[in-house]
Amino acid sequence: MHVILVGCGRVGSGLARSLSAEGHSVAVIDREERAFRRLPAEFSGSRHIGLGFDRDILVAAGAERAGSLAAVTSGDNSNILAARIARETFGIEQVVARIYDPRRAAIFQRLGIATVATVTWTTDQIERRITGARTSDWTDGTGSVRLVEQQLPAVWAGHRLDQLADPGRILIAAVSRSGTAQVGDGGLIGQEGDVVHLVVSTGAEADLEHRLVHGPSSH
Amino acid sequence: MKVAIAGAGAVGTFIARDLAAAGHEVHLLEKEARVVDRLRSTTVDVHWHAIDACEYESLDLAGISDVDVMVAATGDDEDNLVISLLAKQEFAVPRVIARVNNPKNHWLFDETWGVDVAVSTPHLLTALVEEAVSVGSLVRLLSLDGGARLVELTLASDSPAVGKSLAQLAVPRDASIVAVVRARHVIVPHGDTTLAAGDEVIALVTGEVEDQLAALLAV
Amino acid sequence: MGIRSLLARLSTSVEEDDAQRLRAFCVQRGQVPISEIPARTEVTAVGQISSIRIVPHKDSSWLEVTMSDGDDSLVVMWTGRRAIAGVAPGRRLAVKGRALPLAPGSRRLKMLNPSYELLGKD
Repeated sequence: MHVILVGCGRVGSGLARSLSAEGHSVAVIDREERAFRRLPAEFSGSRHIGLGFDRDILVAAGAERAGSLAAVTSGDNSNILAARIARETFGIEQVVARIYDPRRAAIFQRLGIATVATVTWTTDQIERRITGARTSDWTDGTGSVRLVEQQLPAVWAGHRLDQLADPGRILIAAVSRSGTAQVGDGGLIGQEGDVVHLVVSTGAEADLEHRLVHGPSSH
Repeated sequence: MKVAIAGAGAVGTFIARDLAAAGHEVHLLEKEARVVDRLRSTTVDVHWHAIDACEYESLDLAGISDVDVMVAATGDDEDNLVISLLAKQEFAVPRVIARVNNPKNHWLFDETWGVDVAVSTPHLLTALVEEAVSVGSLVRLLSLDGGARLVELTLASDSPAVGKSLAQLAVPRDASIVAVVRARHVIVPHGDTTLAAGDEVIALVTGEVEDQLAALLAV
Repeated sequence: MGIRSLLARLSTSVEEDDAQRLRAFCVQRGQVPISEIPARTEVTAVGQISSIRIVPHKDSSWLEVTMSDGDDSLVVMWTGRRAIAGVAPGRRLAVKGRALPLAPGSRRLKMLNPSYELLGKD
């Protein structure tokens, strides 16, 4: 597949490296020539100096045959412009834009363009490490739902695990016990050593914390 | 009329002063706080907002949800497009005017980005904002020597003139309908030209009959 | 029930029956009937897709969807799209956004790229 990367910063050059290694043909666009210094010496794809929303530059980078484009410059607005033109003018199927501003990311998502809201994700990761809270195994692109792994607190031993759930907000995805795991709570009664995997919406995290610490009688 | 202008550069500031002097409520949005501090004392009849107009929350705080016109007048085409899109899509602003800085980007400035009018000649911006009156009110386009004026009115669907021929309309003696613009085509009017909703009626009038003409055409 | 209303009920056509069911559905699920949507205020509107048009626009196209709640209709436009999976005639839809006049001076409203939710029949 031919892939166009708009922006040759750390993310763009990193993607160029891994996509090339996987055998894809890659074209990189950046407005600064010196940005290409970040590309590995063995990079065999093409380099284009210019703006990612300039039609001529996109044509030169192979937009008419590209299967995907990732817009990962440091500017939200440039990224959304490049992504929309790729999609709407050149009909490129897989288009993704990195957007720092979470609210703008949600708005652009409605244009049918996949956005990755890096700020939400990054603040979340850092905050969790600072506060020592649970780290999440997975967070969706908008940062509104995450999957967390949790050692079952002792207060929960002897209680049905489905009481931990709250429909629409907290879902028990899986329970690991003695070297095996199962999907859902399976009607299990909690016991020592259980590890629960929970899918939780951002707004329900404090509530989950409370339930975990205080046990099933807390609500 | 309530007008928001994004970008307090030379262009934005100029039209802000111009429109404020004409009695409009003008809000000027500028992301550089230094620029706002510097200009606030010399541009007093304008509401200043030190905010980034590319952010939804900032636009909301600045009261964009009830402006009649949004002018995206920054020196950055990417920003102007995103501001236009947010104004139209998120705040349903009736008229969005955007400044084109680089002629190469002109093709992007259309309804796809929420732009109603794209302007590459900044000195025309004020005139275009002033023209932005709602349907059904009479706009003065041009004053001629001797008190005559060229006026324009867009017919609302409930206008009493809809479905009537010009002969039936009985236009006052000191007024003359000189053109009807329908779906971007100019119709040279005859007595049997029948008016339709959405028609832009352009007439030459003298001061005394302006109100009479408005009464014939609008509710 | 009087004989008159019984006769009236029997003569209600299938279409009217469907329209009534749609009306009831929309009243229950929507925030406001389409006919009462205020311009420029964020609302959630519910209706059933009555028609879909793909409008060519330069190199791309717009998806223009008309949805009705049995009494009035609302146009929803998605810019730069040819299709959205699941958005098809007969589908019921909730859309959230701020509406603006379809054309300057028009009483009919449209929403641009609103957030949406596909609904079931009940």
